[in-house]
Amino acid sequence: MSYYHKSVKPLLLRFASMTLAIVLLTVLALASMIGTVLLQNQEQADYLTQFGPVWYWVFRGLGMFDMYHAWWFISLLGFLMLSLSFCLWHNVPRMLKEMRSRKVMLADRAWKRMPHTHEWVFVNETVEHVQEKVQGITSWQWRIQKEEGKTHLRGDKGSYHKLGYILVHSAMLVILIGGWMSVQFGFRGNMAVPEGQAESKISYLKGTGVEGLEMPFDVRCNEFIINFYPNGMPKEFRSNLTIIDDGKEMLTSDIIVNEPLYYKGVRIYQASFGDGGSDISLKLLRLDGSKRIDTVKAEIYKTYTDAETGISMEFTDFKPYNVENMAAPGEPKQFQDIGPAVDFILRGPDLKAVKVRSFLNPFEVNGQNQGTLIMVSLTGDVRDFESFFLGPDLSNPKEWELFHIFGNKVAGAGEDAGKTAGIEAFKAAVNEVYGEKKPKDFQDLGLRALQGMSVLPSMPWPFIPMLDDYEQHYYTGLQLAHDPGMDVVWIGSAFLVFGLCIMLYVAHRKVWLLFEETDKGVKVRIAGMSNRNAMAFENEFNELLRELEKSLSIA
Amino acid sequence: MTVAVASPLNRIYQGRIVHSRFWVYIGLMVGATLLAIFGGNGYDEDSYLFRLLSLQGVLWCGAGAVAGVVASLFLGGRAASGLNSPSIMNTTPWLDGLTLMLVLMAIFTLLEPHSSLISYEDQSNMVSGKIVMTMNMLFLFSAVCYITYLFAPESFIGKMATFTAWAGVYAGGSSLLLRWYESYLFLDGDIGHAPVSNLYEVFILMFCITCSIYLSFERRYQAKAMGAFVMVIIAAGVFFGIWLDSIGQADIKPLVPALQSYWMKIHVPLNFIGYGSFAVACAAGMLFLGRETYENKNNSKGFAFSIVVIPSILIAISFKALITYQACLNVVTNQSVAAMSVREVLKLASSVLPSWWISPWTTVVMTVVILVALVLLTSGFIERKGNSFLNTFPTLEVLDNFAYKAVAVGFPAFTLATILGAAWAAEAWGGYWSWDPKETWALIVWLFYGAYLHVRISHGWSGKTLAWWAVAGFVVTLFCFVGVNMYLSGLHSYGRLA
Repeated sequence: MSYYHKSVKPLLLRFASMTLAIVLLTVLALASMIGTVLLQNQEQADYLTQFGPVWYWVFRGLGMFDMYHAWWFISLLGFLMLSLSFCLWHNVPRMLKEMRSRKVMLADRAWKRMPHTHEWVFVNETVEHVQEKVQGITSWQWRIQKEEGKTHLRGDKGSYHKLGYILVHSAMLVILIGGWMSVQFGFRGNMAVPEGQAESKISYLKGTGVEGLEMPFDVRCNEFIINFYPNGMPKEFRSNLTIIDDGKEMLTSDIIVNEPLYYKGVRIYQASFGDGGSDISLKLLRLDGSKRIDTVKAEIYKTYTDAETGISMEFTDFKPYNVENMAAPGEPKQFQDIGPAVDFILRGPDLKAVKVRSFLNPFEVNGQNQGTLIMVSLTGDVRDFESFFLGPDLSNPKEWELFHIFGNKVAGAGEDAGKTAGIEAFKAAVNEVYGEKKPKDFQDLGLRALQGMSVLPSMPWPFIPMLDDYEQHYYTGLQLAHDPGMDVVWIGSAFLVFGLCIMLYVAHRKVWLLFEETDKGVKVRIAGMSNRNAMAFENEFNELLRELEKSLSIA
Repeated sequence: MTVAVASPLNRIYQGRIVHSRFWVYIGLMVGATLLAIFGGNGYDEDSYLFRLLSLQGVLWCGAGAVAGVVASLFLGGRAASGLNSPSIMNTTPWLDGLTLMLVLMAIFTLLEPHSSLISYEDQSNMVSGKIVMTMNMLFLFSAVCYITYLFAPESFIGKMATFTAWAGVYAGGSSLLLRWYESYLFLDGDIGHAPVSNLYEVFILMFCITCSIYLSFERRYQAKAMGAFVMVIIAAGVFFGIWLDSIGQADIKPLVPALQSYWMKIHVPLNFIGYGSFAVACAAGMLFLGRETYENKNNSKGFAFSIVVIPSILIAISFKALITYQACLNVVTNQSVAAMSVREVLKLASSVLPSWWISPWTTVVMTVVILVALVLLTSGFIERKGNSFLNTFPTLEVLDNFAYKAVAVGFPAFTLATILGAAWAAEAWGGYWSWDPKETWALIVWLFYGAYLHVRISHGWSGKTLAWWAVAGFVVTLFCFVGVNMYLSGLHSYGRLA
């Protein structure tokens, strides 16, 4: 036993020491800082290109890419728990003892050191009477002791002050335990459920990989809706979900961000959304001069290959709204929805693979038709999309026809025909296509056709893919979490705040009174002190003096 | 612990009047809360706010107020000492202040432009913007007055400084409330939300909270010289706010779905009680360091430096901005410069002014020149005045205590704010703690001040080290507040500059 004490106790005391606590807090703070600068849980390939192979493996070995779950970070938290536990184990008994034992008698030397003192002599009074009057002041807790003919009285306020320390430190321990429970017995992962389908498996990141977990129930997404503000910003993401447990539909409910669903200890959150495989149809406008328009059906996340040209289109995304700022730089922002669009990667023999965004509607500014817009990204990154105006409004079959007839007529007029010949050709073409009913934006039509003449023949592709029709299906991105430690954390948090308030705002205030029978009457000496907030205590001490004088009617 | 209030106001802060008023406030709050819980089918913020202003709201709150009067009669009637409870006397002025802000806001609503002139795209004609500008001017003026006060403590200027600081708090508070009202005027009332949703709004909140925490300290501890340090920090913030406004960050925008929660109104202001207190602690720390180096090492330049360092930066920036703006005015008209963003003004300026002028190094050089000049001037003044200059300032002991008091106010508020933030995260993100950069930095700030309190309370440290600690703590806090939004990505990215 004595051996145990000799070797272990100093070690335990070291754990309980404040220096260790402060070192731990500092190291934790510094370590946490690293994790905010080095982006966590990114793609491994990104890290590899960012740091190069050597540092990548060093960092990966240290778990830096998922730092807050690395063994060394968890150990740091473990050390903090150890330190807290030993600090409590070491100090709590002492503090409780101090709280209980209040010395009623004050030594002479101590009297002199007291910051606040006062003395009265009451004529025609007995010690008992005066002392009873003092004890009648109920806002202080009184203790009495009689010795050698003298009566000693001690008053306390806020004697539970030390409880603050105990509460705060045990609260930290409770919170850490709660956090450990969350990690150990809880789970948190994502699932993507397309509209009309059900899903039961969640996936989550673990270290550098992804793991899955089967839920004891299925979640079906009946519908996913986005509501918009009048300015086009999303206002609400809403999923209508049905929980299917054991083949039975248990409950159907809507969830939105900030309002999750709770079922069998699992919370289901609205986390994200995306395209759940929308059905789309595309028009392929052949550029071989045949005026042919082929309509093809496709689906997002699938690839369509055109048999005629061998070109494949891998559909990656569909958006029914594409809100862009139309204002020139410096002017007040002007948001406009330019309509549904589909993104796909276009690959083909002798073609550079590019990402394309194709729209359903022509591009319009202030109601004026500017023709068909197509966006191309050479890098495949959506941030690198560049806009190309093709000229005619290709969603309108008449303009497609006009473009061809116009082209033929210009070609027929010969290369050295003047400008007037061009205009004549255009007029003839319009007559042929539209007949007597000429369109109102005749002028613009001309400009669009001219632009088309210069742009379309130089296209590298044998056809222009145009979005024609769609039936949208979203998927809703759900986060499912089971957290058995959460309530423990809340209890700890309540302790923490409560304890902090006691610790920082409650002062332990003490007064001592000494009653002596003298020739002139009853002599009463009073002294007081507080462990903090001396200024407030001075007021309180004077208040007590006034109250005593009033109750003994010598004001 | 009674509050010393200027004499004409004394009567309404005494006895029965303050006691019953306090309980009426409590009654009103309870009435409004009960209306929120039982008044409709579940809580919906927009309909709740309208209901509060309807007859139903008047009835609920009126009943609460009557109950408050009764409670006051019952509670205060038992003992005379019950009327003088320090907590009531300390709380009521804050509630009075809030009421006054509400009244001011109600008056300002009468000045709003006609509904046909209100457009979401161009919000420059709204009244709140003008009130914020007034607040900016008041705070800047107050900062100048507080600095002047150091050199002329006997003059009227000290009173002026405090008065304008208060006026600034009321302008800021009422402008925020007004923004709340205005948010319902746009886009058919579809985007109404509390004015704590972006960096611009929380900056105004931060000014008001920091300033009022300081002013309550000033009144209690007679530490007016501290104002030169606190208000200068606020003035720096005002500069940042004006810059935010100039790059179009001041517009009222709809809330993203993640922010649509009643938690926002609780979590954000509480955080700023923390940040504001830490700012006050930082000011006390700076003054402590300045005074300490003069008292112990007779280093008047060090003292002067602590006073003029932030003002020098601000003077350099405003001088550069003024010259640049003037140069642009020579090329284009007044109005079109006003409509430009900062980036465009700089672009325009670079075509008019030499490139070295635009370079940030020019600002640095100017700051150093101004700083050296001001340090020499001020230290000369300090040496001439000697100890009588020191008498204007609180003693080292008071300053030390002052910083601790501010941290003691801020730390529990910040703790609670972080915990409630975790509670919100548990409701919106699927977990109470995600190691998101903002969360992590909040933890770092918490650990930093937690360690401060440890060494102070248990190790009995005080003085110079802790003064440095308070200053460094505010730098960490600032990074947590602004830096994380600007430089790091994460779940709190809505505080970001768009």
